[in-house]
Amino acid sequence: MMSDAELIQRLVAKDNGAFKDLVETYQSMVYKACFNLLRQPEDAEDIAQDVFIEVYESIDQFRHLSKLSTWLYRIAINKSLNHLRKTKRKSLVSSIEQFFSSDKNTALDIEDKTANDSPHSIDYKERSKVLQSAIDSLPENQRIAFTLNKFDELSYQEITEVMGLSMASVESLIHRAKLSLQKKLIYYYKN
Amino acid sequence: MNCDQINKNLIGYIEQAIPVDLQKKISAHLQECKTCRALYENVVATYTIYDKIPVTEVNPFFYTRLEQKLKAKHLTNETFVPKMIWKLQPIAASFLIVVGIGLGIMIGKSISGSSISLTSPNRSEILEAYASDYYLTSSGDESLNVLMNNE
Repeated sequence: MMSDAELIQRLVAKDNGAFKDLVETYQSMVYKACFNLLRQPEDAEDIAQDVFIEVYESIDQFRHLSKLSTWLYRIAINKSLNHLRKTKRKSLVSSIEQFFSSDKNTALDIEDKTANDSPHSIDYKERSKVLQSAIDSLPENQRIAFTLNKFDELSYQEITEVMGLSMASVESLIHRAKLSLQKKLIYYYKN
Repeated sequence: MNCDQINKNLIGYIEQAIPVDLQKKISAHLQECKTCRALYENVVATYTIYDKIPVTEVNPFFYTRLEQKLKAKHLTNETFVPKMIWKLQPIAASFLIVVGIGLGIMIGKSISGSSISLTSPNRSEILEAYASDYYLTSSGDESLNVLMNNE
């Protein structure tokens, strides 16, 4: 298997096939990282493609200070977050429009306790929504750290490299994220 | 061990990230307290759901689509200059209109400055001169035409 250094050299030299090799090696990892933040397959694919385009265009700027996978994670997270911010702005506008056009609010809110009479009747899909809503309500850094740890299965050390934070900061972010999720889930199921 | 202490350590208990003696105390409490047990069952089922989320597979046409996207992007960059020209067209048209209007105003002013005012004292003389000139020319043509027709 080709090393990252060799792959980067070939990419910089605009070697035919190097880009394809890069994509085939990392497409699953990049797509998963995007999907875990976006939760929409189409959006995740679109953003993952943008990640590879950025790598293709700016491979000359790669300084070998981190691993190629870390660099890819960073780009994937930044692009996914930018996409989320854009869609949040759009959804805010559409929710305002919905508010004026209809009284019904179909969005599942973590604090919406009328969704089910009995928590036991909540199925897998609904549980996923509850957890996702709780994760989405976390502050951005906590959400990224928690997602990278739980969904992308990155070690704390890898998260420090991707997020550019100290080990203590990452530990603190994940700890606070868990406490916050615990509080939200308990509140949801108690009420 | 009371219910509040359970609530504070629930995730730690689920992840087994708390000391063993605390885990044992929580386990004992959960066996006794139905409310806490129901809450625990819900929280554990929801919190650990990410373990059951199926791994989403990458689209088999991912690279093909990416290649197309990259080509389209580069094509867009190559056609950047013609696009710019196309975008500049309205600006150029507006500029020409403004220049045209400006020139029109300038020419209009210069003509009105050099033209003879109809209220000037020489007005009647000038009109007479034009009239006599026209009359003589047209009558000359007329007489010539009459002569030619007669012949």
